[in-house]
Amino acid sequence: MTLVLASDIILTYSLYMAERFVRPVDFYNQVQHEQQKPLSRRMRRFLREQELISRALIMADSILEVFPDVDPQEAFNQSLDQITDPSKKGLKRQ
Amino acid sequence: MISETVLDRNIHYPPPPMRQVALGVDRARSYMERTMRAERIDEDSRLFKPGLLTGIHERVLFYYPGLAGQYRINDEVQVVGRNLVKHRDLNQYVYLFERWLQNQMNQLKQEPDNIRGALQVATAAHFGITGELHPFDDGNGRVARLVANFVLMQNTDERRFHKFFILPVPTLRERVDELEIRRRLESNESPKLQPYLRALYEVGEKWDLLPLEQALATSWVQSIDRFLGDFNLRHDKDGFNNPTDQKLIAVIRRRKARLVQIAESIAEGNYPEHKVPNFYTTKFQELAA
Repeated sequence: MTLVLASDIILTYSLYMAERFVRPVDFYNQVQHEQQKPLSRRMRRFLREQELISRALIMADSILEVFPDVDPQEAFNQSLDQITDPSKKGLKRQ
Repeated sequence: MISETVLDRNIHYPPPPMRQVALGVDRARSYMERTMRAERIDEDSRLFKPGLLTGIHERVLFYYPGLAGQYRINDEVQVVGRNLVKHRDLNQYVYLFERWLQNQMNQLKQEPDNIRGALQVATAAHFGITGELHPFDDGNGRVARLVANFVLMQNTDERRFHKFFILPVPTLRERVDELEIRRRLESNESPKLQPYLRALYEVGEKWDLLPLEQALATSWVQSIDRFLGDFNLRHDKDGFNNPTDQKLIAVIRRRKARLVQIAESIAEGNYPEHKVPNFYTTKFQELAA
């Protein structure tokens, strides 16, 4: 009885692990292929800046929706200030 | 249970500080980004699933605790002269809408090069939130634009392989004179609107999503243009010789070319009508699959 139970548990667990770790190979190869070659440091810095700009744009967009009279450029500048100024709490990068 | 005072429509809410408004959207964005970052490559979308809209909204409107994450409780709102989903049915309709969105996003995940498909889902989701459901009292547009941005971003290479979350379509609203628009609507004239709002208006009139799709594609092209402009400035100065960098930039250029092609085809009328889909027909058999 115990043996049957144990073998059952082992079988279930191995099936579970197999299901969990066996992935379609081609898909992973493709992803690994991309990930093995990292971007250059300059490029990463550039993309991070672009991320900040897009964040500031969407924040400025929300400001303009609630306060339509604000100048768009001013809203954008304020948002960018809030993101980049570390002394302003609550807006730190996640 | 919400207290009676919160539900009382006669309450005058004070205008929020400008910083709080920006902070709310940034919180919602970072919530979506974190959820998307946490999901494995081969699993179903963790972000796009039931509970998405209230999850975003309670962050966007965090400065009004009584309204944040709460559905509207009246049926007085009209969009382009048409009644919306009744507030009593919102719970079920929003659930079905989110199920629809989840299915679409899981399908899109299988075909990362399908830009047109992503645009179609983004426009349909945008119009579903603002034009059909309009689930919240305030902040529907912000929620819809965040959702559209993340729908478009899901399949971009910089997010999938390099984990950079560059929002593709920051649709900056221009100055809008709402009184003027209302006056023109009441006197049966067509209002003068910005491209983005005009597209939304046209979709509401003809029930055809192509104008909004075109507006989103155009503004994505503009944002890629700005990106490439910045990149070219830097490229002259420093030089990006890394092959992975060059590959990424080539992918982004190709995306821009495809988007321009889509926008032109829509302008020339080469695509058939893209009717607003029925979001509420998801069956449980489809969900299981």
